[in-house]
Amino acid sequence: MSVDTGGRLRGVDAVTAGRLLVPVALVLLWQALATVAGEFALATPAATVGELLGGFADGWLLADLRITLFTLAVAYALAVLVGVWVGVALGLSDFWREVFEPLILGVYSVPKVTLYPVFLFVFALGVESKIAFGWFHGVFPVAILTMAAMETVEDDHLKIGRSLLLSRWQTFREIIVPSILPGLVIGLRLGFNLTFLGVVLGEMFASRAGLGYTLVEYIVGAQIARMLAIIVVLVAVAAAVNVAFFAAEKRLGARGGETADVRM
Amino acid sequence: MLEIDNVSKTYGLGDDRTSTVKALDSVDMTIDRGEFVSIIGPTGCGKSTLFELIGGLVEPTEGRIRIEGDPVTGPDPRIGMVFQSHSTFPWLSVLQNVTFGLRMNGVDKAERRRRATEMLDLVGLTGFENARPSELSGGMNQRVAIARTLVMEPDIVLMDEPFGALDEQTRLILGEELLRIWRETGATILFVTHNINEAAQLSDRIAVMSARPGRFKAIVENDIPRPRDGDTMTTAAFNDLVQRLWNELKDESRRGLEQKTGRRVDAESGDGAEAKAETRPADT
Amino acid sequence: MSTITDIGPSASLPLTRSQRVKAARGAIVLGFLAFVEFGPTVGLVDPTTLIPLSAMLGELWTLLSTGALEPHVVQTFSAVFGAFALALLTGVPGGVLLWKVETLKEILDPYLLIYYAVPFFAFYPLLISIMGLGIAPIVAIAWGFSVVIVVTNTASGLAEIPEVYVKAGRDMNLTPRQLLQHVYFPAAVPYVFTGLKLGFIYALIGTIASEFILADSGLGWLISFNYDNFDVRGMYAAMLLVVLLALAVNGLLIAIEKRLYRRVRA
Repeated sequence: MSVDTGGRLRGVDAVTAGRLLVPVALVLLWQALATVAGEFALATPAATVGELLGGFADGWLLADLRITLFTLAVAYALAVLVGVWVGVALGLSDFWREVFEPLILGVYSVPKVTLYPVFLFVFALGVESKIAFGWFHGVFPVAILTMAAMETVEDDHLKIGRSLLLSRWQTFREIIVPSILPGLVIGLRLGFNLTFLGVVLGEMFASRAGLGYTLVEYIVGAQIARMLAIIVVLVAVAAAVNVAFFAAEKRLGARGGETADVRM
Repeated sequence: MLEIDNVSKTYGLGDDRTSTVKALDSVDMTIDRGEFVSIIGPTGCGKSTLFELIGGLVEPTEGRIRIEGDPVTGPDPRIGMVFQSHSTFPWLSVLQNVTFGLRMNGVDKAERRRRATEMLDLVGLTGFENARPSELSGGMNQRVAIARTLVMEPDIVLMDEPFGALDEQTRLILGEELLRIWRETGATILFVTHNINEAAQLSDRIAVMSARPGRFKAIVENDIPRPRDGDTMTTAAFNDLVQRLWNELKDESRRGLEQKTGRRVDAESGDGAEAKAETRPADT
Repeated sequence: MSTITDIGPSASLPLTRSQRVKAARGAIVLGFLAFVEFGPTVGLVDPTTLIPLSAMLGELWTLLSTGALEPHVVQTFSAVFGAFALALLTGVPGGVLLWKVETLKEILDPYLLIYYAVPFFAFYPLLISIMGLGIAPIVAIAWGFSVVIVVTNTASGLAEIPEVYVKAGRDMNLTPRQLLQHVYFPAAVPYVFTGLKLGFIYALIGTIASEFILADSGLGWLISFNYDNFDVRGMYAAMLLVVLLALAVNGLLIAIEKRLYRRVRA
């Protein structure tokens, strides 16, 4: 490659073109696999799109999507509320942070799915257990990354707040939140991803509705195209939310999201 | 106006709280309305502790601080604080920084704007209302911090080495500006610094602190006539004052330095303190 | 924040700070364990949904000594090690490739970042339909879940190596292959290990979660099977085993990691 600016421009274009080509390549690969494996083992992209559109038209997909999104929204809101609260509270106290940090990281390292029966015992089979399970997945990254972001709050800023006799809520909203925002958005994104995963896992294991539930139901009839249609919807939801978060992270100059450890 | 009545402060040090450090020992002083008083002392003598005690951010172990006879038990609206540096909020514009305290205290928008505009004019930042702190120099940021405090119209302004991170020229210019602002507002100013020239340039009285435990070793009257400007600093009277202050301070500075290196060794031997010590600036 | 603490007007505590931290942490852990132990017996919790810790341990001991758990432990760890081995064999070369080919890394970066955002287990039912129930779809899911973290950590670990090591190597006329073998890899070991550590833990999580959803054996399956059959004792025993194993594996890997980092930084 040449080193002049034209070459550099072409280099940037190659990256953009490459990025656009990745989904195309994936679809082509999918098509190739489907052709080789045969229609009964793996449905083609076209058949999947057909099921997807049909699913929205006659409503089976839409009904499940609605249930899953509702569960997700409630679980996520609670995970953010509790996670940010815990993260800020521990971030403000060196002592309690030292007490709780290893405990939180320890619980974070346990595969949470094994504890799901406990949630089922406490909340029964309804939507509450899915909400609680999604919350349990999402609350840890939110709390852990909020706690880490609290390190960036300037002591002097908090002192100014105290000297101006700010209420706790004012201190939180006007000083702490703007200070931790760059780190916080990363925590909110990872928290969303894990809540989503928790909700879908919960639906897959013990549920009577939702995308995860229907996905497992289709194993019996080997309805590959419909399973793929559900997967496409799940991937689309995850991608759309994450792209929005990436935009926010970029605007706020957030760093370190790439290396963050996501666990279930 | 402000009484510092025999105040002492003891801290627990590092990991082991059974060993304590006396930061301040029997500090005693009364400051009159409209007075400009500087406190100078070696590094680690407890100047900043005194600053936070008067501001109501920490409680004295012994003694009392009173404002017009009322004991200070917490932050008081009659006191405004200006911190060392980087204390402007980077997420707010200059105007939003200055109106911050007013907004938090429920002052309406038109009034906030009026008072902030006046204050920005006073500190010479008219035209920078919409700038971000990151776009401004260190000196301009300190002007913003001063305006943010003064806009609350405190009776007493506490300043903790506000020009400490600035270069010498900026420091001199801001010193002169501060004197003008002081004249125009009639506030009482308590100014913490480790810079002898700065103390001599600005104050009516200068309290010299000893190395830890900090006490007032001497309180020096500064009768160099006002207004003082750049030329004042070349006069014999000024140089005499600086010399006198330096004589009071010399031994204390040496002791302070020894304590500081001694303390750093202490802090680093403690459990878990190593990682923290690396990221901490040398003089906290 | 500094280590200097404000002791206020009057305070004289006999404990040092780190002792108090440990005491508080111990109290929380003990409180939790006591709740699990005594909650069911004193009627705080319904004894049909939670059994005392001692009962869990007793049941676990019985199951272990009768060998009832053995096939499940073997099954689970075969899948974990199989998936991890595959992730190692594919992920490390993948990471080297990304590190070597800058353009490829730039192209894939946004996709790698979004990879773990996808609720990955959604692919599991699909894989069962294609591969049939058994260890194969489990290994596939666990591999997929673990390989990308290995790839990204290998690539960023290699990029982390100080330029001066490479210059020294070049100065000694090493071939590119020697350079990779004797300079890049030893220098990158701790960073790559972080990726492998996470890769192993992810493989473990992926395996147990898959078994939990649908399988015919394994520890995850055992928990869900016992849940479905109202064998609360057996379920808690298996759950306890998985939690203890996860904590042990995690602790061990973190200890190794600390040693490796100490070696590079010294």
